[in-house]
Amino acid sequence: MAVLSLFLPPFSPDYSGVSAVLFDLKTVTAMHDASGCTGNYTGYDEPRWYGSKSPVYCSGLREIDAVLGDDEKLIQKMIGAARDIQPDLMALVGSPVPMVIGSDLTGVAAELEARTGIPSFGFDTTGTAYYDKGAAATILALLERFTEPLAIVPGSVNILGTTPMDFGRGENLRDLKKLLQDRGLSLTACLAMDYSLEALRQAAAAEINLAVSRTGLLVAAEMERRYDIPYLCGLPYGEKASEEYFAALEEARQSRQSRILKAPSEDFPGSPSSRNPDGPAEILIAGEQVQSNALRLALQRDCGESAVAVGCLFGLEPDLALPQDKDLKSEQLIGRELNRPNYRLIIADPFLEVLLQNKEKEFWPNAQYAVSSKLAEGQTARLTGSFFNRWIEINRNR
Amino acid sequence: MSCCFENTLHYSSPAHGDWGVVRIGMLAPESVQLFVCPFACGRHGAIGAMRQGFKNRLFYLYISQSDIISGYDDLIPEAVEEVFAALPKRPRVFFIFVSCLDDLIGTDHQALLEVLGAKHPDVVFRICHMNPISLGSLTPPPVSIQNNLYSLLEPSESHDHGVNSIGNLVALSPASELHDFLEAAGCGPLRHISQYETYDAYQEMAGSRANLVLAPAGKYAAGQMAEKHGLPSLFLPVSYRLKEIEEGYRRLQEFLLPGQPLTFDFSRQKEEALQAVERVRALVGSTSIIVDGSAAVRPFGLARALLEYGFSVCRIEAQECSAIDRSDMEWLRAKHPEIEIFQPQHHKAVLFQRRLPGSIAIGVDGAYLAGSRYVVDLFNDQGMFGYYGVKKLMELIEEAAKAPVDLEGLINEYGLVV
Repeated sequence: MAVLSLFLPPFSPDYSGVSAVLFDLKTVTAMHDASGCTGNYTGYDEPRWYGSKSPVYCSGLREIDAVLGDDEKLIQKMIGAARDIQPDLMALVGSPVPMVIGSDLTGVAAELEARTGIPSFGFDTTGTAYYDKGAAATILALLERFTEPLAIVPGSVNILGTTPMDFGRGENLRDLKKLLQDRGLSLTACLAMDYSLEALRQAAAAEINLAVSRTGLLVAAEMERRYDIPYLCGLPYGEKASEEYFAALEEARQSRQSRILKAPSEDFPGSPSSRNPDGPAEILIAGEQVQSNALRLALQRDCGESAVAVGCLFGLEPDLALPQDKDLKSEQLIGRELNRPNYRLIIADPFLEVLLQNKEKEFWPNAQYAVSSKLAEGQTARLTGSFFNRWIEINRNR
Repeated sequence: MSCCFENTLHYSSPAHGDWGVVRIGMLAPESVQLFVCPFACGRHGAIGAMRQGFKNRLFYLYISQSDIISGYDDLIPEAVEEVFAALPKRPRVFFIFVSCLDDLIGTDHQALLEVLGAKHPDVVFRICHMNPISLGSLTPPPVSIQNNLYSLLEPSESHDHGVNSIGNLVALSPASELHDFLEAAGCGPLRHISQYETYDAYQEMAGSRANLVLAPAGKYAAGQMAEKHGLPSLFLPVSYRLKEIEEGYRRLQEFLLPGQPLTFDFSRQKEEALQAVERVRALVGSTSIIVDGSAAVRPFGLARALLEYGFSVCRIEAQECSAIDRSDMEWLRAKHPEIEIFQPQHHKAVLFQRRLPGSIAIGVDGAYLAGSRYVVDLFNDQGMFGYYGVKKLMELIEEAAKAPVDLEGLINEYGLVV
């Protein structure tokens, strides 16, 4: 159904998610479009683009190719690039026009692989879904192709679901890796930022998967089915909440049971609430669902704030949600939610502030690349571990 | 000079791009834009608009797969009403943009315009295209959006001595001698769309006596204006060669005042340009220069000019050679076969194999790909024309040669959109 947007920019689409996952690998990736879709990714969804040598290309689709369904031209361009780049794999990424003309990119990829012998993938992305869907589909396709079941290495973890759309230039991710290292855990694969094909091949050797985004949860659930690796979904934000995170991690390692960390109130009957534990939420966190959940847990454990709702900008995953959480599918719904009188504090990407009618309401910015791209990078909150507590102090003292 | 151009997968460097149709369309005074497309298609335009400060005139109707299948024509009028309701001031122009996929599904634009026009007779509606899939056709987006801009002009009952500059996105520098020339010829002022703040004031351009087309993207619009307004036009793209500049002024004189000899004295401007050339050539010496198509519409012509002035051009970056640049390319191939032609979008560009960090790059894309530390801040010939253009180019080269530049910062400042 058509949706009107008056104030916000469109968020990162599925094809950007695909390309971001392939960025680190030696891949000839072609976004099958005329130019603009590739420009979305290289210009506004990929902070690593400047200075990189990642062979992500545009196919240069033209009207006549679309009308005639000329796949051979695309195949020849891919083969030409493969000759010079010598990639480990190749990928074709869909966009709105291939969707309309019914391009079979999976079939074209199979043809490409048959002719070159290079593992090739086709992703039928459409530009009508968000980045997390494209990213998850790509990680899963890579795992299926390259990752065989292996003996578990004790104390090893995979980090699942890292893309620039959720982690920007990766400051919070680096902090997470440091925390894991400090606790004696080794990293097998970080999918999909700062990883290699070799790490991907070893991914099934991890003792546990850490799903750090909705993308990660989608991948972790499938890896549990395929490789019997349990997962912990969440992020260690805040000093106290991080202790709980690592306790949950240890428990999941021991029990081999997966767990989603989301701070339901019934888990913590004695939890202090500063104001209104039973009434409607007083704080709204609008953003990516897993990160927002982690922020909520930290607010609860470290700050005693229990009346917190999460507004999901990119779709609501029921397993991650609490009853008060909202699926904010459109700008209208986001605006309506932000302006509910029960919220005294909004935590969201700074671009969302324009929707706030009552400027007296407190707004704490936390930029997300999938929303504000490079325009608000300086307002990305560093939240991992004790950095959360410092961020709270800064905001309280503003 | 090695040649020629290959059609490969396209590499898109961080310095690749231009104004984009959103920003160009925003030149229309008192206009707003509604994009009707899958949400993904709008991301670069919206973020670019936020950077440029006109997101408050840009709106989106995101269509789903089912909307595409069932047709979205009938969804647009309601969205238009909602945009009107959200606006603090009623616009005079309402651009409805459709994207690439619309070219393939046959939306009835005319019927839509009739419905909207009947309901809002005080507003001019236009269908615009953000359809890079049509690149290579007669009306790719940079051409069709300029046509949309000038189609807003209604025929004027009278004409004055004004001359419109068409095709250039930024008004010519007031320092160009073209203004003096026009005044001396009893013509002028030289008008440009960017100088108008209201739709009514903009109509003044319909009363000009002629169109001067300074960039190729304006040629089609000028042709349409000739039919609609009877406005004659002269295509006079920017040149940095003195001989060509002189010839251009001769053609302009003949165009404006047929049969009258060129009497305007350009000797001072020409002398200043030559002095600047001498000074900067002495400063730069044999430093390698890269000429990039992002800086000039005719990179081969610019390279030829620099070679004729005695500079050391080592590379021309151009994805292809336009018809108006071909003779200069042929000249370069014959006289300077050692000069490299580099396709910035070739798939091999990402290998960054031929870096030239000590070079001076005219244009940011050339600088990025070569790793040049010295960058001439020139984009799309903006503001340039005539002897002034030569002098200004020399000043820009001089400035670039003095100190390395923060290229990433410069690219970000340009706010390019692919």
